Amino acid sequence: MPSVLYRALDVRELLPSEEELSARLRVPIGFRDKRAEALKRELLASVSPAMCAVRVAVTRADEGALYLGDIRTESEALKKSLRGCEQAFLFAVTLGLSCERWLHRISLLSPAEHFLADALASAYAEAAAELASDILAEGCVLTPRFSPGYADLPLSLQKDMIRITEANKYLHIELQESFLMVPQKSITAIAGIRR
Amino acid sequence: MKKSLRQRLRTERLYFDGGFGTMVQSKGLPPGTPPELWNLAHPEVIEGIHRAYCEAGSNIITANTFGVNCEKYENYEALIEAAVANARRAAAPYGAYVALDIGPTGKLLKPYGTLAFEAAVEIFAKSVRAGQKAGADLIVIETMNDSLETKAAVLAAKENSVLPIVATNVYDESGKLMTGADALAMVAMLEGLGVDALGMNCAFGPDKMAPILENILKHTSLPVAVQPNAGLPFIKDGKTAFPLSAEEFATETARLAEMGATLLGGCCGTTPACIRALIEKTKALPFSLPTKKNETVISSYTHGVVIDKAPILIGERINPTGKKRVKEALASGNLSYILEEAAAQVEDGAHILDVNVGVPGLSEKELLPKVADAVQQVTDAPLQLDSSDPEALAAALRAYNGKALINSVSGKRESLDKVLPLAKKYGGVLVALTMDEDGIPATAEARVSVARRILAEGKKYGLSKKDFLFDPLCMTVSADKDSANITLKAVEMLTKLGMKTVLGVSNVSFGLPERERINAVFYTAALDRGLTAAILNPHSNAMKNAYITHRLLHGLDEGAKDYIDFVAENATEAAPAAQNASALTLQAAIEKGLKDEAQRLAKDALHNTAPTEVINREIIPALNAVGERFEKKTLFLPGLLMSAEAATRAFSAVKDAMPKKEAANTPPILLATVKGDIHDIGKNIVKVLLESHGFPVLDLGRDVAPETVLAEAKRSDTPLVGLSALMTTTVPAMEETIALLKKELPQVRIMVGGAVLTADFAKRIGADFYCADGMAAVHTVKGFFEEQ
Repeated sequence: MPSVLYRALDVRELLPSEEELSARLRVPIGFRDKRAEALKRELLASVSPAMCAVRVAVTRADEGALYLGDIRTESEALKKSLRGCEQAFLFAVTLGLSCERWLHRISLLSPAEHFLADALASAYAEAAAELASDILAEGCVLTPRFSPGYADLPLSLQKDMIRITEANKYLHIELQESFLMVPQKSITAIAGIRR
Repeated sequence: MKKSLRQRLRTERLYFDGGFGTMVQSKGLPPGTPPELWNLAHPEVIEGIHRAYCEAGSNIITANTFGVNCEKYENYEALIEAAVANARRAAAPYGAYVALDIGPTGKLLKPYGTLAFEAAVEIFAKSVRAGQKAGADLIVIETMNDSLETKAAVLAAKENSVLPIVATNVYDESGKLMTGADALAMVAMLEGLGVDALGMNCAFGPDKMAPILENILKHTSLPVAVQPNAGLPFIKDGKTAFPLSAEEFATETARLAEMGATLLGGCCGTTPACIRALIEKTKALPFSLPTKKNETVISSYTHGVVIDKAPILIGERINPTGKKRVKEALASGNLSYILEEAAAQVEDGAHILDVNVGVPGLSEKELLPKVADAVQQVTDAPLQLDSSDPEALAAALRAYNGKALINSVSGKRESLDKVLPLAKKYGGVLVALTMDEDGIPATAEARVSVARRILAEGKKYGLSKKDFLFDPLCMTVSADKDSANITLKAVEMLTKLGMKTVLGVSNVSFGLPERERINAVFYTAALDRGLTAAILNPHSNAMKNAYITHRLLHGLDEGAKDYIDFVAENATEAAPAAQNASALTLQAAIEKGLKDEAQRLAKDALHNTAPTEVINREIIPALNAVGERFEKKTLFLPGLLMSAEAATRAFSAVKDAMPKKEAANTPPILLATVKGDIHDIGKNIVKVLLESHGFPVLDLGRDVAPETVLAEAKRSDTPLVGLSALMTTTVPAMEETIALLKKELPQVRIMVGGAVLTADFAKRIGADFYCADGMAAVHTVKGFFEEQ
């Protein structure tokens, strides 16, 4: 079993792009909304972002399958993404159960605010994944991150991702039978290491 | 005579063992293999580790059962039996105790995860039964990071064994559990449940435990256990390592012993050398238990409320008596109004919320735990569970996440016999009504005498003054001119006896006009006589004024801060309202998405306009205008949804004013996110848009089983069910739900939506309508009802 790197992430370093925020809120870039601003402050007070990661060998079996440590996949898109990489980081990030609780509370009180809060939280979860990539990229170059569910990489790979990163233990991420993660604002990803 | 373990826990410092997983790995357990598998595969290795701890001086060793439960292992009984036997062989020569070690299930409990509370209790119960059968001496519940899961484990231990229970939690550096509870909340709940010792383990080293221990010791009267890690783990040469040497660990943990922890041990990264050094460092320290506390305290899943000198406000609004909308919410199952009311009361300063669901014809036993659970999902205020039905109280207390206020017990024999045991079993502070079989005594002295009798009965269950709030009963002053005086005198007498008091103050003015005037003066008089807690309407400015001013005048408001804030808040609330009154129309308020204003303006409009006119002249045009702007892309989704919520508020105000005939109870449209799916944004958008157009909606929530959808469809007599699913993996559950509905209720129509669906696919799985987005759902529903 590879050793897991666990790290709490600094909320102040979560910087979602304008494009990401606008896309999630379904508004044009530059659009400002007082309620969204207020919810953003609440969100940032509720999150407890953290990451965990493992470094694994990338190997290619004769029959064409790709191995990330002991995880086997036949995804063509991932093979392409990891071309030339001998190692990769598998990692998970989460905004934490406190954020889940905050979102759930809003969902019960105001569907309209829930839409805004959920969109904001999604953008911040993406920012957490970006921050984790940046942290892992220290001293090396990483391929763009790739998550289960993208292209032909099946969502069922989540199970292996959670197992190998020990995200259940370190981040308290629980995988449902439908491969949804709780807390919902969690992301798992693969990034190839290019020296 | 030899002391029992329970006696020893209270009279001497005892030592646990240290880390186990890393020890087994050092003996050759391959990484990734669960240590518990070696209970049967390599018993000699497990026994050897236990022996090493016994040799080091541990008085209590924990059997290797941390990771064992019936969900993970079919042969859990054999694994537990072997684990206890291995530990027993090692412990016997040293006279050490063997603990059944219970760790978390590894699953999140509802509503965030999928594990139901009772299912968790049953998982733990099976382990407890197996552990007791195998001969464990005590039960250690440890590394728990969820307060509700801790409660499930403690209940399972209490209900299935007579063994002593030690419960320890994992706190983070902010002093909270993963699910939010602080030290006071855990102390209140665990003492209430009757554990023998409590404390903390794992997470970090002894240094970081000190501030949390300080907080625990401030509130608990029980022996406190600490089992720190050997510092924060780090990676060295690809392996997990811990920074503290045995000596350093012992030195730092000894400080925790000096502070008052009396059960000492180690967690991750600690070894027999750590325990030996720890014993060496602490054996000469004098032993003393934490001082006995006499706090009257209740808790939620995040914090405790100590009921002491400062007056406590208990929000009275979640009670169907005289409240049509609460009654409707309880009858329909659509709890939105109740949840909004819960959040609003806390915002207005309530410390505790009363939850009463007594409606004739509805089962309180089913509803009270359900509504209490829902209220806990929108607020972290502790609850007062309010019912005259002991079975309903039992059901709600059992599932409550924390230690509740129990409303109520009285001096009647039946009530004493049925309610006092509930407080004993689940913990809780009791509201004790000073009445008995002869009714409400006519004098203050006689009410005090009933209070004394209740207290005496309580003592038989181990309860004392701190476990009661006595209610000398507030009667309506219009029916008896002396009633207020009698109640006030009783408050004064009880206070002098060191008893805490509570009153439902609004009763005093029943049947009279301008009730707030009377309530506020009466409340002030009661506060002056020492009233501890009042059940009142926290939205009432007059009551808040009485409360805030009393605190100011009695030295409870440092620098008059709360008073000044209160005055400032009232000034800012009044100003915009006055401005808006002239400038804003109902239509504009809806278009701007101002929900409070929309509700107020709708109410105002109803003074001189017929309800249907308000709908047709103001609400519908506003909705049409925002709909058009949305379609032209000059208004965006957030704005559309805010307008929809404002329209919903206006609609509900209008509906309240409609004559009964016009507001005929049309069956609701049922909405649900299907089983396995917890993404409910789409469903929520549809809900708010439908409600804004005046369609009644019953929202079943997310992760809803097909059987539940069917049962609710039958119960509510709905003509139309809307289902949502976000993931390809949950679409089969949608198909299954549709098939069940079509088979059992062929007349019901089904509309579906969700990111992965298409019109074709919707048809293929048997849906009647496909809605690409929220507005499409509105058009579908309008079309459906027009056709009907």
